[in-house]
Order: sequence, then structure tokens, then C-alpha cells
Amino acid sequence: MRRLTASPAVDWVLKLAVAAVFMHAGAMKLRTPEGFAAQIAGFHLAPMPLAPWLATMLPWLELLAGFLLVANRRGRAAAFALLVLSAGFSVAVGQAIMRGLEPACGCFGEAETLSSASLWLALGRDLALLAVTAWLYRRASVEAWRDDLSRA
Amino acid sequence: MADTKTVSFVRDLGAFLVLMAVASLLGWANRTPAMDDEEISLERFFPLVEEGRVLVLDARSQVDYRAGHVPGALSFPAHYFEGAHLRHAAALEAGRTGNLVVYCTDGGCGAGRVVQRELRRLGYAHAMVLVEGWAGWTWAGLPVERGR
Repeated sequence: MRRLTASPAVDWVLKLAVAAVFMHAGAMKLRTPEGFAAQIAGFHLAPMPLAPWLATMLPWLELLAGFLLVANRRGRAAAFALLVLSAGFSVAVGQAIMRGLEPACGCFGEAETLSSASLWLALGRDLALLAVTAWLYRRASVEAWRDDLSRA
Repeated sequence: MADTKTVSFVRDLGAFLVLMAVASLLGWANRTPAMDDEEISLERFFPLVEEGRVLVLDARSQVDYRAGHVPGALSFPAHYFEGAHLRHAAALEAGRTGNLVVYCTDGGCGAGRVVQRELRRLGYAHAMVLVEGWAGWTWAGLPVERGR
């Protein structure tokens, strides 16, 4: 198992999969930024005036970080950004479930549904992404520390 | 080792903030509004609200309405059309010949269209839909009224 998780092939497959998910989500959100702003407001987490800024910024952040991760440029920083995004999305969806809110999940642009079942599905997806991005970030960090130590 | 980890984390945090700044600039450069004949743009709508020359209907759910709405707007959930119509009959009658604008979450949201078309069918010939919807209103940082 340890050999499998340390394999560069597994690393690449996970990077490609995570980058594809975030870049797809970012591109879909860019099609309807006004709708995404309303969906953010529906989560009642961020102050209302921040919703428009988040709605325009987040899709580009997903696209940029996904691209950097798969292009292997600033890969550790990209993994960190995707880790923060996954954590943020998980918190947003988790608190909506706990507070009994039923906002439209704009995870992939257009609102998916208004049901609580879709929120649980979104939470599961976000937690899975959180686990994978945390693993990618840790792996990139360990490699960087090894490089630093070998140079020292 | 602990120092190396801290420095790496601070570097990653810095890179993340730079990415956020670049993403904010790209997002800001790509803001776009639009409109058609049965619709009203935010640019035309806002002065009417400021001057009190429009009856505004919020077609979203009451939960969303209470969380924040256009100042002076009446809650008019699309799924509760009959009840909302009865409740606001006097205000609607007074505004029958004036400007009447319905909005919901955003331009692509169907609830605003449903209310607007039903109102037109009932003789409110000036009923229009706000193109940018609630998202556009908050996007532009315009005043928000809460509660009621």
C-alpha cells in the first residue's frame, strides 16, 4: 500500500483527476457568475457584500490552481490552494446542513437542486477532494523538504 | 526541520494570496450584464428604486427574502403565487399602471419569469424581470434590507 501511494503514477493520476474536477467546476461557474453569487449568498456564511467578489474570484482561482497543479508549476502552492478551497467548500456545505439551510449547490455552475440530499452528496464530494488535496500537498511538501535537506 | 516547515507554509500562504489576487483581477475584468424587451437592467432599475417609482416583487423563497432583499420589495414566492397575490392585492392594484419589477436569484432563474408572466396575464402589463436578479443587486454592492 505504501509503495502504491508513493508511486509517481498514482501521484499523476490524482493530480490530473483533481485538476480536472476543479478546472471543470471553475469553467462552469464562469458561465453564470451572477447565479453563483446568489448561491453563495444562499449559504449565509460569508457577509452578503462579499458574495459578488467570491463569485468572480473563486472560479478563476479554481482554474489557475488546477492548471498550475497539472502543469507542475508551483505544484505545492497549487495543491495548497486547492486544499484551502476544498476545506472552505466542505465548511460551507457542512454548516448549511447543520443549520437546516437548503441552498442551491452551485458547485458546478448552475444550481444542482434545492434538496438536502444533494447537499450531503456535495459534502461527500468535497471531503473526498479535501483528502486527496491534503495528500497531494503533504507529498509535495515532503519532496521539497527532502530536496532542501539534500542541498544543505 | 520545524523552521523549514514554517517557512514552506508561509511561502505557500503567500503564493495562495497572490493566486487570489490574480483570480480577483480576472474576475473583475469579466463582469457582464445584459437585457431584452420584457426585462429591465440593473442600471435602469436602481434609479427607479431610489426614487420610489417602482413596485418590486421578490420571487425567491421567504427564507431568502428574510436574509436580504431589495429595499421596499414585497415577498412574492413563485410557488405561493395565489397567496402572495391575495396578500399584496392592494399594493398591486395601486401599482397596476406603474413600474412593476420581479426578481429572483439571477437572470437564469425561472421563478421571476413565472411570476412576471402570470402578472402580465392578470393585466399587469408593465411587469418586468430584473435581468441581473438578486445576484446582480448584491454584486453591485447596493443597499440590502433584511427581515420582515
